[in-house]
Amino acid sequence: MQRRTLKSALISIAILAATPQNGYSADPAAELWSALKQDVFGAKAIREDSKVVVLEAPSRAEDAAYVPIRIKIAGDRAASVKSVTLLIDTNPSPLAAVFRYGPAAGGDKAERVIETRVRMDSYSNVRAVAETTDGQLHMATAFVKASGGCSAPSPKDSDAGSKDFGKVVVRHLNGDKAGLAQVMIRHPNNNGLQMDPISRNFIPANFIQAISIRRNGDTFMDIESGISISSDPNYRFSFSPDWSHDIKVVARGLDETLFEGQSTDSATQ
Amino acid sequence: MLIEPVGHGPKFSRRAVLRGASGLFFSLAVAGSSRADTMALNIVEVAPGVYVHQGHVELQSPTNLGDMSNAGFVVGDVGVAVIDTLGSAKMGAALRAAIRSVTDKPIVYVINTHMHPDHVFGNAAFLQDNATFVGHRKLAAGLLARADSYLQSSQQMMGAEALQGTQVITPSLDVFDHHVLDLGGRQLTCRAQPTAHTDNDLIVTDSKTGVTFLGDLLFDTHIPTIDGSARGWLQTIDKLQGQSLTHVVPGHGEPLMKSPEAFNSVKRYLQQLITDVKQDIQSGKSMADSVNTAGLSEQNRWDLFEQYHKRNVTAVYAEIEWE
Repeated sequence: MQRRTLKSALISIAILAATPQNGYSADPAAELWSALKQDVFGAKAIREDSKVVVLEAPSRAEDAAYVPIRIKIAGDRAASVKSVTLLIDTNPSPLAAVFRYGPAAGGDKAERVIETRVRMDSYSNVRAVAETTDGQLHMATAFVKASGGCSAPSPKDSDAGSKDFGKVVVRHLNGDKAGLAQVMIRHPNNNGLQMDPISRNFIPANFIQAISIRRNGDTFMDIESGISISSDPNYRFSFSPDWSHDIKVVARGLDETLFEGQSTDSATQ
Repeated sequence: MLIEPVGHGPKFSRRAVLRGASGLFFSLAVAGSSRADTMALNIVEVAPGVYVHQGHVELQSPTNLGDMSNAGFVVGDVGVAVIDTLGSAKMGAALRAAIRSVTDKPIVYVINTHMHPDHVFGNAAFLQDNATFVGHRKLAAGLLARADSYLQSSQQMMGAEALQGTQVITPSLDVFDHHVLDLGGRQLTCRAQPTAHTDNDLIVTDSKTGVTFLGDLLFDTHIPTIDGSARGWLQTIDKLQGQSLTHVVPGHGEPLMKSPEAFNSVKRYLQQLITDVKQDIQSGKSMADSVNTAGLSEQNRWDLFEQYHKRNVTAVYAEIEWE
């Protein structure tokens, strides 16, 4: 106890000492982001820029295990955006996902949308950082009040665990009209922080770590994803109006299991 | 510490009379002991030997100390069984004081109707009685998996002082299907339910009066909260409505209601949510958008709608999008 007090006192002194000289804020949220930024993007400058990227998230999450996130990339910049990184500052693993557009994403000027659902451990800034082909980083930030989402058991019914496990659904949301598609993967996305209802031990992490979305064999998007993505990973993305209904999805779990799915012309309706 | 009495007897008495729910019960405000560290807790004898405390229809707060659910107790010839213990050890102690003002028979069973903190966080007050804690076979797993986040959020809502003495206590007797507890002259039958409000709902029926404690399978006034399966809950309601239950105690709201009609509001709410969310999913609406529109026709029918409704929509959406 004495040691801990001493240690925190020393940290406080260090922060206080740092503040006036180099302009660092003693604000813990700013400190956290500063360190995270360095880890993920190195020394590169990041600019908050709503003209390139917009992030929509609830200010107060209804369910911290399913916080819906929507990222929008402005139409006039869409073709120049090569990737979007989704970060949750205070989560045990802050790097939630990286979305990398491929050649099949096309060069049209329609707004691009990516949606998913994340787990949140505590109140946090959520960030979408878009990288353009010129190497510049553009960011949108939203503060979300949510807590407990990382340890929340999934599913709610502890006996329903294996129902439909591994099922992949790919559907077009606007019927025959181009616009929005959805990928759903039935997978608990165990993050290593949830307790097994029977043994009462922590369930080992096993989550979807990569998803490849292809159209006619060309990559539309590669997603690299971590433990902050909600169970039953769920993505929506916009696509060019000239798409035919032949989206193929391959997802890979941490244990290297592959899950595959394909859209059909009959779509959803 | 001296705490103002938190009961609301007069309001309850008036409503009970207005509803004419039953001629058998009368309201009594129990003064508790004269010690400064206990508080008066209102209880009502809903049937001979069957008592209910009606909690506030509120969120947890430093003022209510977790007194925001219904709790009850049944007095037999040889012992007493407690059904749910409110949301903190302090409120559990107040409930215990109320029991002691009615009887000094030993408290032999503490039954929890499900894992939620407003029903189990008062358990520690009954450790001194060496009571057997009784719950659904899945209660322990559900509660332990969530215990940290329950304690954390309770502390955020009520403050650390309110939680003094509160412990996470899981059943020493797991109910797999049903279990009969003998109190002397009357038996309580505990029946484990399939996943509905949670995955560990348990109902308790008193053999002498027929009163059934439903826990949060039945909500009154307070918006229902879905932490299990909306579809499962509807199935369970159908099953219970077909049984010969007469007088039932909801987990929130009135202390005593009549089955089968008591279930109608909860049933309507769940059906409306499923219908609206299903429609949203079919038309391609995302979860983020569905929470703003689904089930809005229920808005003025429940207390705490703003606090819980969108979360319910989220749960229903995640449940039925795979159908």
